[in-house]
Amino acid sequence: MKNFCFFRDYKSPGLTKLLKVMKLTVFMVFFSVAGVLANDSYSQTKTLNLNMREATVKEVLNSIEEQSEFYFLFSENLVDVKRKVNVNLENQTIETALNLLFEGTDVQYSNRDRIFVLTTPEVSGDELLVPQQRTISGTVTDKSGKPLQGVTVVVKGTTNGTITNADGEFSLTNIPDDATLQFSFVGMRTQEIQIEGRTTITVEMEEETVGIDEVIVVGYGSQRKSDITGSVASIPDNRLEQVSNTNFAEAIQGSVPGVNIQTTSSGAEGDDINILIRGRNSFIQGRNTPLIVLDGVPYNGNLSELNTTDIASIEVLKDASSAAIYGSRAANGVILITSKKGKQGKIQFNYDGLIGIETFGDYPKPMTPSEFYEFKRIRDESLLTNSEIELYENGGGTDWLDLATRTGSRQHHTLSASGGNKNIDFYISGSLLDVEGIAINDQFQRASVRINLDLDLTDWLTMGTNTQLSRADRDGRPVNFGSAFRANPLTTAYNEDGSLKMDPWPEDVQTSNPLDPLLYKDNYDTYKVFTNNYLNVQLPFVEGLSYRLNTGIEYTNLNRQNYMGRDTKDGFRDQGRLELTDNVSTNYLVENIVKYGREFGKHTLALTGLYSYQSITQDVRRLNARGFPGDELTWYQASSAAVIEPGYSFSDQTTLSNMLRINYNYDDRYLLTLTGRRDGFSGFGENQKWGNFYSGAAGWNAHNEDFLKDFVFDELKLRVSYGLNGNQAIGPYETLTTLNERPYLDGSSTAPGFVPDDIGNPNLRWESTLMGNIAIDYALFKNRLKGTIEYYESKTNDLLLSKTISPVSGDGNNAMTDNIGEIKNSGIEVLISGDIIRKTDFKINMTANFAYNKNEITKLYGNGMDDLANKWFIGEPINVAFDHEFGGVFQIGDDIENSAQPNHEPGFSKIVDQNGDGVIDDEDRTILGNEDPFIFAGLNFSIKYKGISLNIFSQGSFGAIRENDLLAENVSSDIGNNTMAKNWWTPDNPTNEFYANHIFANVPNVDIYQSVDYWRLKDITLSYDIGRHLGDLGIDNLQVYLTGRNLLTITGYEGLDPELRSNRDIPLTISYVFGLNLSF
Amino acid sequence: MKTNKNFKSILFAATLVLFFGCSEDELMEAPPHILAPVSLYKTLDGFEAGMNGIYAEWRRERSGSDYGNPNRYMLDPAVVGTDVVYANQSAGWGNSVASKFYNNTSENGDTRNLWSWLYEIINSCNTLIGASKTDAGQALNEEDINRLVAEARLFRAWAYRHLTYNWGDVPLALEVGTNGTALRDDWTRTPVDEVRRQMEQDLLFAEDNLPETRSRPGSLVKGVATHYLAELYLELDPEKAVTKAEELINNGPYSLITSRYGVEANKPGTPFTDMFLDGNSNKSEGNTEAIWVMQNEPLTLGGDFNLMRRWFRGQSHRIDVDGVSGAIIFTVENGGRGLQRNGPTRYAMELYEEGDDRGSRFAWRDYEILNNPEIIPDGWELGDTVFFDWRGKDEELKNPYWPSTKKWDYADPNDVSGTTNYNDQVYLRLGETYLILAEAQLLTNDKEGAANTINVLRRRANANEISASDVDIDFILDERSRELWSEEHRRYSLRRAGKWFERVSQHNKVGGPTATENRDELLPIPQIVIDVNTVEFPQNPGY
Repeated sequence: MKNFCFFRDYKSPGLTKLLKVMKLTVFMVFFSVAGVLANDSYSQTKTLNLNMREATVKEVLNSIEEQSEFYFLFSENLVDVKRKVNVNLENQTIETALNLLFEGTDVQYSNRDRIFVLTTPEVSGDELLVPQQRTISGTVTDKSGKPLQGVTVVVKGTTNGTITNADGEFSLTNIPDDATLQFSFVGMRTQEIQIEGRTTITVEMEEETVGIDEVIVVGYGSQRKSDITGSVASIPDNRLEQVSNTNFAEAIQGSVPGVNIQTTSSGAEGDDINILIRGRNSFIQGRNTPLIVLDGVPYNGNLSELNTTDIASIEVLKDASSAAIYGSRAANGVILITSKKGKQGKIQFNYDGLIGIETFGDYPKPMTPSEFYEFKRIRDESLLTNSEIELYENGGGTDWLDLATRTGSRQHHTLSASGGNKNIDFYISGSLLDVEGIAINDQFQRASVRINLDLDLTDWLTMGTNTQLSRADRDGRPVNFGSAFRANPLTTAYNEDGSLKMDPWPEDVQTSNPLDPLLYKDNYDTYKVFTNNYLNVQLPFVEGLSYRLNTGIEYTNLNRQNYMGRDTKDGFRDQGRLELTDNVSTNYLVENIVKYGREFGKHTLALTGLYSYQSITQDVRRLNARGFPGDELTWYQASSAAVIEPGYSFSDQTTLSNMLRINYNYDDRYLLTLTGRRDGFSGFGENQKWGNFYSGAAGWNAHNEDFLKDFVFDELKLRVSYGLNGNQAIGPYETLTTLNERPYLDGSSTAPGFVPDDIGNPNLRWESTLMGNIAIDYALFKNRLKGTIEYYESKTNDLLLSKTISPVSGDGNNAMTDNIGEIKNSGIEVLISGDIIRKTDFKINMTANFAYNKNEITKLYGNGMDDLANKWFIGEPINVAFDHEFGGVFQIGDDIENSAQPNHEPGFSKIVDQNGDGVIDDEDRTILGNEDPFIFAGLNFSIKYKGISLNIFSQGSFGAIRENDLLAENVSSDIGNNTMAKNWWTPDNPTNEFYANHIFANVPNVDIYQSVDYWRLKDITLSYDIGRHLGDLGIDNLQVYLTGRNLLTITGYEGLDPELRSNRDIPLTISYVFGLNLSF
Repeated sequence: MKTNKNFKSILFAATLVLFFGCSEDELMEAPPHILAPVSLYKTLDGFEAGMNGIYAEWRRERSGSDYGNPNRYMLDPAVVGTDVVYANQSAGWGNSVASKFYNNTSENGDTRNLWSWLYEIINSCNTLIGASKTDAGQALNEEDINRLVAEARLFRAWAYRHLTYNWGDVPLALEVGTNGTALRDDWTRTPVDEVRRQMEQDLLFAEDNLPETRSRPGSLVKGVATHYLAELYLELDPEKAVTKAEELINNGPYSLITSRYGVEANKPGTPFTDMFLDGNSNKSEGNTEAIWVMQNEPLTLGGDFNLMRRWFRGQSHRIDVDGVSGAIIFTVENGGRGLQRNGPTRYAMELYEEGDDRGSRFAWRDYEILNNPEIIPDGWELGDTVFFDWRGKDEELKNPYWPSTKKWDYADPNDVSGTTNYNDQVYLRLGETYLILAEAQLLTNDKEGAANTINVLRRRANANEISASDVDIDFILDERSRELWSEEHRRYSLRRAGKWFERVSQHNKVGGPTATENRDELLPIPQIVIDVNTVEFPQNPGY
């Protein structure tokens, strides 16, 4: 056998590696390569011109590499490349050139693709006199156990090495016992293994997950990571796998810098999630959300209606350049989701399953019956009713929250098959998710089927589909958690016969039972079809020109029936009440895409042109009816109602777009991306239908420069981008003046009535964000340490502000939307990932990300004035807490009469007199802090030893405060509501923490704010690879794992949870999950 | 064959492009489901629907400022926190406009709602009046369009009446506020006199163009305009007030109820209290005194509701009989469930002399009847009456043992503990016109005439007649309370007489001591009005 030795082990020019990566990458649409691939006899047809005198062999080889795609692997120890030669060739093939070059030497060469390996005959072992030498052999496979051919195996520190054969086998002789073997393969992580006396060895190579040649989706195509000039963050695989995500946003939370994901309320479905990329660019709440694109189609549905186990990758486009292709919807960033594809090879069956329990931790609890009794007695004894006193004296009462909660459960099963041959690739899956939440009757079920196909119909026509069919089931109304938190504990939930009490508090029949919703008859199903279908046509005559028709249809049908019988409060009042909802929404996309990609020597050019049409409609049909003869027929009896109120709401919006993107690459060193997009949107005002957006970006792969080639960097890349994007921010018809329905009577029958409602604005248009981004991507020490550092600044103009207008104008909402205002965001994002230990059997990786965002209003109405009504202040962030400041409690002996609150008494709340004018009024409100956090961080720690791995993920946010409304009384005038026990002021307890338990103690109603900084241990996963012990059962992979989620939160906030919006809501769910992955 | 293949691929792509092209007209919005003012005010039916909307808005005076929620009496400060009405509960708006005036600030959301609601009505009126001048409006029958404009102008004057009495000088908005490109943010406070001149013009137009009677109950008629003109002239020109009031009393289609009638004519009662019974409010039901009746209807779209019983009836569920609670349950007969947010001051109750029907137990409830067969305290029997011991005591907060008016009694037989009323209620009646006349006669130094006018009402109520020497402004205010307690907008009557502070601080034992002179007779301008205005908008004094 021959020993192949070489000297350049990894730092090869991108293209060569790309060719190999393509085999590994699930899908790859970088069309510029297509032309190259088609030409499979490159080495026979490529002609070379060489005219060099007194040049070294190395220089000649370099020259050949420069004018061709050939690439040479050799070792300077074996091949004398310093030998001076004279070459003069014209239009000769590589074979001729090499024969000439090595004429008279023992250098031999072999080639695969465009890679030439230069070797010399076997070196005699006698030359190296090392004791205790042996022969070692082994097999190299990929992660799924398939043999890998062509893996380079080198004895570390020597020139001794070989390449694996077609069965992945290798054999090396004359190896010292203490030697270390290096295994390397393009696109795979290099491994070092100590022999420790073994004679056979099995090595499993792993894909380089964040390698610089990874191919990632960038919108309307994909690109090599090394070619990207914008700010594109990929979600790490470990956030998508082996984590019990109900929706994909949970996978993103904390894993990439600059994306702030906040779960605003808990529960079985848990899709009440805010996504904010690089800060708030818009004043309008809910219009700061990024555009979500699933398989090339803007996704219009619920986060939780998409099966998470079908997702192959998630990319987040953060800067102006990367997002600019989505023009008027790009300013808040774009999230690209790609579903899994099949790959050629044998059919692979996969089962992913998990089961778990859902529970909850400690949460602030309202007072017990006896505490409440004491509270009420002190506050106003006369309001204690007989039933309350009786319950108290008998030691009765109710812990409403205890009645409202349970231990929930979760299960998620996905079975998939994938594979393919020359003409077809497929991925087909079926999945079932079932979550029983911790609030009684709170449940979510999702069943889905996915069919992804790619078909090569002819050599010029390919087509495919990415389709999900799903059903989400949200039957049943959960208990009313808000009222369970507030419910009077001196009441009873059940009658003696075990049925629910309609009036838990006999003396106050207005109080309803928080468990009342359990009696509602409720059916709530959503059916969804989301399908992307496309055709690719290779056009003739112009090499590299292709046309793609991309279409998308999303059809959602939400069906809801609810009936409240006479056993419920509202049902009793209305003599039965029913609500029927039928909500059909459609999302329809057609895109014509023309692509052109060509290489001209060192120049690579790629053009993408787009003409697209998208239409989204929604029809909501409602029927509310009340007054029924009986409850038996539930929601089927609308026709016999005394009052029937039908309703119909409708919306229709259209976006038309043109886009052109130019990518230019010189020698893999200099990169340029230019993008222009023109969008028309029906929701904009009559005079402002079209907007133009553009961006430019440049990148420099410094590590490909000769002068840095042998330096420590595996990657060193500088990226700069600048551009203008838009935010549609308004919905359909918001520019129109509308009327509100106000029916009246004609005698005793209905007479239609309308009054003016919102005042319209025909000049409304998109918000525009100008963003600059500068970034460095780095990888050091053979990619052991890598990451990204970015700085950005953005300025948003023409902000759509719901401007408060004088009530004198008579607008129903005292508000009108207008393009005014300006916001600045700037920030830093840091990603750093380190392989602390990187051995075959033992790995430790730590990945951290950090983001800081500064948000600042720079202009409001153009007159330099702040907007007190909306609490917007120039120079401050958008969401500030602007309020009176709680200044403690008036104490006995304080000079209250001469204070700013002369009518107060000891024990009453004190407000800080900010301007010191001796009067407490609106002038004393001040900015107490920011309500949006401005620092976000995530930390992932993973450790893998043989088949065991442990992953610990934590995340947090800092810098925000929020009113803790649990620190207020809100007990209503008859003290019918429960509240939290507090450190009330009394003459014997002269605290400043909380005022007295007295009806007038906080009449001016000063709120107490607290920091909502937190650090959360989001999940811990412990997994074990059983598959490694199963040998030849035909099982490719079998892995079991345990995950705990939301196990620990460190915060000073005393409300329900720093992340959740309400303090009287379902507590944060803690889940413990057991999962299994099996593939065969 | 290669050419063939090329041809195929090109043809294929071209077909697709052509097939999926589309037009830019797609971007123009033509919502098929939204009514814009331009599309509503095209036909008579459209104008009528616009008018109905204004009626529905007017009704919110008694249904609450949160639309569809009976928790805020929209015009509370016009009624409570006066010499004769105090807030019995220390909750809600009453805390700042009745119990503790020093808590009243410009940030109060209820005050802002009241202001916004009145200007919404003005904008609705202006929109209809503006539409009447368009081609579509001019194409309508002249009588119809004039009547519609008359109704709109009357409502506009009605809204300015509330604005001026509550806040003094207010912006006079007469143009349509629906053009978003030309919104005003530079409002100024128009002097009250100028606003009243506009009200006069609006009411005169309404008087000229409204029919005297209309078949649809609750519709605006000429008499409403005349009544409000009479009241307005008390401020502008008392001579004219006399004329207008006399015109309505003598020539209008109304007459005082002086004998028993209607649903309970055969049961014990008085002519005065018959007017307030469910089923006795409308003219078609025999009520000859009512000029304007507010319409509600249970279980009917557009029926809405009102919260008057909730606000004024006593809290029977808080009554203990010998320490036993629950002996009184809600029934249709005892008027339903009340919260008595607003109650009569001791002064108001002591205004009634013995024998005055208006102060009788048919008008006031200072007792409850034991009606719960399940709970009968020892020594009592079902049907026994518990009388409250209130005489000689001052009003105080949260006292359930206090008299409450029966004017707003109503309970839905299907839901006796329900929060809302669905009965039609008298909103404006000739009795008040008499009192306006008396006030006008006093202002024109015709004390004799004033005494005679008042005696008409007193005779109807079986109260002793008075003589000219008895008549002064305080007496008229007292008489208004006796006749119109909880019906009249008391704050306005006091302000017109310049007596708000004096009488509130003397007679209201709960809120009176907290009132500040030259401040609390007016409400604070809502802060939002000041904050969004680009030119200075002065706050009322003291706030």
